[in-house]
Amino acid sequence: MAPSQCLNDTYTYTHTSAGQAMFRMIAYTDNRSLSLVDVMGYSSLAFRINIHAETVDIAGPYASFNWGDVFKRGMMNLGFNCRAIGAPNFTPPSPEELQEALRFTQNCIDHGVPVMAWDLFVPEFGVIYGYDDQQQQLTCLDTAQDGNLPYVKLGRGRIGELFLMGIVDCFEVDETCAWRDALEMILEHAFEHQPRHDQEPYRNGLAGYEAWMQALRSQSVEVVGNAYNALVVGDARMYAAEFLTRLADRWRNGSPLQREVAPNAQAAATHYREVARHLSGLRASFPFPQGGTPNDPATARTAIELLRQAGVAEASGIEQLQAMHQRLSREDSHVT
Amino acid sequence: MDNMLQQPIEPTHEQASEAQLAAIRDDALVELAKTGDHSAFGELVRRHRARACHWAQRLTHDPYAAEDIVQDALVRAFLHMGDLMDNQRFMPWLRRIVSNQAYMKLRRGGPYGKELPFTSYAPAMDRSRDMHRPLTGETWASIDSVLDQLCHSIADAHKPGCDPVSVVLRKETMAGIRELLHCLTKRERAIFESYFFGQLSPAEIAALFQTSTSNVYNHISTAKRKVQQERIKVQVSMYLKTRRASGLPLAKVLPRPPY
Repeated sequence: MAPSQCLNDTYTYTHTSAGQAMFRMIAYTDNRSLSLVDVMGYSSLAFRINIHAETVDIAGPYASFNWGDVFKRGMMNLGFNCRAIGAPNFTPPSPEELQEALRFTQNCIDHGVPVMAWDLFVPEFGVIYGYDDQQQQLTCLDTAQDGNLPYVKLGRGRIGELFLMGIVDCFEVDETCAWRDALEMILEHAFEHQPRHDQEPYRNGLAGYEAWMQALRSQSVEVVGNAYNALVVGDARMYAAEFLTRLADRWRNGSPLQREVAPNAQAAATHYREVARHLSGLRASFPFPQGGTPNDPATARTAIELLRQAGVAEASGIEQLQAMHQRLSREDSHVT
Repeated sequence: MDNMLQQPIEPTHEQASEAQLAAIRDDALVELAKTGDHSAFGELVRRHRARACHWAQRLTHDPYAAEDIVQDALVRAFLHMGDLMDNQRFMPWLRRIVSNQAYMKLRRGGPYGKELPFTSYAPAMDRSRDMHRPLTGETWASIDSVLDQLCHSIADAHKPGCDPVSVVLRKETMAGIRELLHCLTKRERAIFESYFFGQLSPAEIAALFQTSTSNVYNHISTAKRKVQQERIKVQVSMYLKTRRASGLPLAKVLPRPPY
């Protein structure tokens, strides 16, 4: 895959901590030239949204999907086979699960690559990049802290559940195939509702915008969760726009197939830039973590209008991505 | 509790005569007993004592131990009549209390300490298939499941003809649990054992320890957490021992991630 990282790249930090953690792992592999923009795009994380239709719950961005499956699939688009341990199930690991997690973590670090992990110091994704058996401590970095975590605390953070993912091996990927597979993930997320066992009213993809507006209309929004979702989704869409811009730039001079779909990528980039612009208005009204006053009727009206426009722009972006996907799916990878 | 054992249950002048009581159905007697009517409870005891002894004997295989168990169970039943929601369910409820008492006696050894009387060795007790499940490594997945299985296998502990592997595993598990319980305070340990080994309800434990039910819940959850933590510490140190033995590195820290 042609790396798109530029020198002095300003896109080196994202509020989607799962993408940041993947990027951090990748930096230790032979594919270290992959940019965070690539990671966010090919993993589909730049295109995700999941909103609780009543509260805009803070858990939204990582609720309603199988972490292991989605993250592994995203990493495969980037040329990595990964292994995941654990799941977001509100259950701390058993002694045996903890032992297996430690064994896997230490093995990855012995091979020179950190491991992505959930809820190390806060309920976000971070990486474990060291261990010390004598101190029985892991060296970890997440959004809150760079420090040591006792072995026994792994999977016993604020939430009390274990999730780890580590790179098992890497392989060469064809950029066109990788983007086609990523598009599949993005379109599935945009249109297919992810059912939940607990009936909580989460809505993902395009329906997420309507759910968000509904929550604001009913003035039942949880202030911090609302601000967090604005932060994460707004930031993600900036990456989506940047990813598509860079893809269009590369593909304009690429294979015939790539040249054919490059205008779709450029058009989608414009739509996603607009989504990001509307969401940055939302972020300004609801700064994280203070969160502003989303349940104030006048503020809510403004926010609803921003979300309406963001939703319209995203739907247009998705149309372009659908067109791209249809075209790429018609071709076998060898044609590229 | 002990005082209660010695106090005969005497009817008061306000309470019904023996003849009247004999004509009353069980559920009505239960209703009366719930109001604190000693004679109504006495009538229930008269009717069902023999069956209660029979249950206890089947569990202990010892008529003397069974007597003690029934006596304790009846006192417990009288004290907790108020907890019985459905008057029709008096017999199953009493049976559960008898079983709990029997298991607790067997666990604590009753009059025989850790030894069971010879009569207990045969014939094999009729028990559910769960009790024959060996305690394998994977049952450690949850301390609750381990404890649950232990509760079921307590009375089974010395059963002849039992698969030797499962006997060894059970012994190891019991030893493991005892080891782990050192992390608890004396009171936490007593409540923990009453709950998991004695299979008493938090309300029953609260009465035993003269405290509130909510306090018992607190103690149980603290104790469970501590035991689980202790179990994890043991697992981690065993794992590190095998890691050292395999000559794997003791420590490694990669350069801090740049972003």
